[in-house]
Amino acid sequence: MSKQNAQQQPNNMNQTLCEEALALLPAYALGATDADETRLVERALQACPEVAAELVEYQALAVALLHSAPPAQPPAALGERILAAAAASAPAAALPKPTVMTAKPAVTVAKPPAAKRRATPWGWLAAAAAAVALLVTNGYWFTQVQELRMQQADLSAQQDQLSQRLTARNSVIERAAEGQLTRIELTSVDSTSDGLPAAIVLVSPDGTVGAVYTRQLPVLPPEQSYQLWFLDGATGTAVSACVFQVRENGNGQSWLIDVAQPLDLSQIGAMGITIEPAGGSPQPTSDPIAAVEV
Amino acid sequence: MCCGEKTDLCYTHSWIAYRHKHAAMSNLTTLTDPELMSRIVRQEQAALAELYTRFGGPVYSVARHVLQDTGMAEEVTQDIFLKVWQQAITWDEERGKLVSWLLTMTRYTAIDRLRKEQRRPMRASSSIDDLYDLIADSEQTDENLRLEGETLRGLMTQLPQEQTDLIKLAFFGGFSHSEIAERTGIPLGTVKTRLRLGMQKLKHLWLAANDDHR
Repeated sequence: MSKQNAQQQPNNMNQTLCEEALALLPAYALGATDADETRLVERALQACPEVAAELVEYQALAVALLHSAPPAQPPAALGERILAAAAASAPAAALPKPTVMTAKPAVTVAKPPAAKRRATPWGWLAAAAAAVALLVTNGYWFTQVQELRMQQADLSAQQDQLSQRLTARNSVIERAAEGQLTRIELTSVDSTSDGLPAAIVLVSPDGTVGAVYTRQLPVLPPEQSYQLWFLDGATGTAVSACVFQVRENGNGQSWLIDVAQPLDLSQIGAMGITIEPAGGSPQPTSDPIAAVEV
Repeated sequence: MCCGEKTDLCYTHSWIAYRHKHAAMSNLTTLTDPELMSRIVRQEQAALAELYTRFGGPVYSVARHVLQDTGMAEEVTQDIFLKVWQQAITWDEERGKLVSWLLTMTRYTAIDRLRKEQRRPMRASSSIDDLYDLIADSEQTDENLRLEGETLRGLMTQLPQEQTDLIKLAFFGGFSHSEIAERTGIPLGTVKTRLRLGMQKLKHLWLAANDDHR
């Protein structure tokens, strides 16, 4: 088998997986796929950006379906029954009980009379060693506390980031549901690529809400990140849309977060993804690996 | 009949009087959903009463639609509000609207109940945490969500009946492709095709309707 054929085979397999998953997606959003179909869709969600992008719309539709049940009036007594059951249930069942410390019974143990000890230089040495040990352990605990504080700050920052991402994701779902996102495909600049889009960008008309789904991009070392840019068609200046990494299989997704100076979709002349130092750059420092003229 | 003014038992006997009196006192009706849930975390029964006033109807409606039985729908509605009473702390306002969280829980609980009644095997149920993947929704008001549901009910009438029936069986009945085929006698391939085409068309109509409203 030629080298080209060997490369094409996994791509073809991937394409088949993506197509099968796209066909199952409506049923998946309803919860109607059988176990093997569910596994197939979930595998495809990792491998096919177009499947992940399409799922956003079907999930929004499923949420709307929840609200489509014909309104029915509950019986008047139901509220009373619920309140009675709540009153009868153990209060604050979910809250942990406070710990009660009980004092141990005082037990007096008669100690044998202390033997009269002779002061020796060893005693002084032992005291000095104890003092040094105390200093060392204090230093150890001080370091531990500092480390815990740093971990706490890290966790707090991670929580903020997560919360920011979730808000961005919810905005994407909302706009997708309202049909406000435009889909733009970025192709790889690598001439040997399979011709399928390297990335799909969903973006709102004002350029502030959106998402990017990528496929088969190389995994970067920790000191580098991918960065999506929107280029102003009139001035040629680049605006950072998001910074992201890809998973081990080369696929990734990210949300547009904190776009500093958003461009209207009508202002965007081109989009591109570049490789930048970890955390992103204020302006692109390398040529794009995937791009499109809008 | 009941009791002095301030015991819990009295509250259980006089739901309406209790609600009016305490809601007026603490102005619970003006609280946002997160504020109301924080009161429930503190085990304030008046807050639970207000929650029921806000969402008892929609929760009961979903349970009733899934189960097609008023008695079981009442039991599921009670289960849901008791679950909230005991686990209100698990709701995360950042991750989904309260009404969608409640209705998603209701749908799953009612489908589980239905499976038990019909002696169908239980499917892997989602944990409360997994539900957030399904409910991440918009910042639309509850009223808009209700109107959107109403619109969707209208749009479903534009689909061929055979497609609408399958969508309802799947979503509100909790049936999988193969279970629908077994139950209806329709070939499995046909079930898959009808469900796919129905959802694709519904999505198309729904997005177009949203577009028109803008």
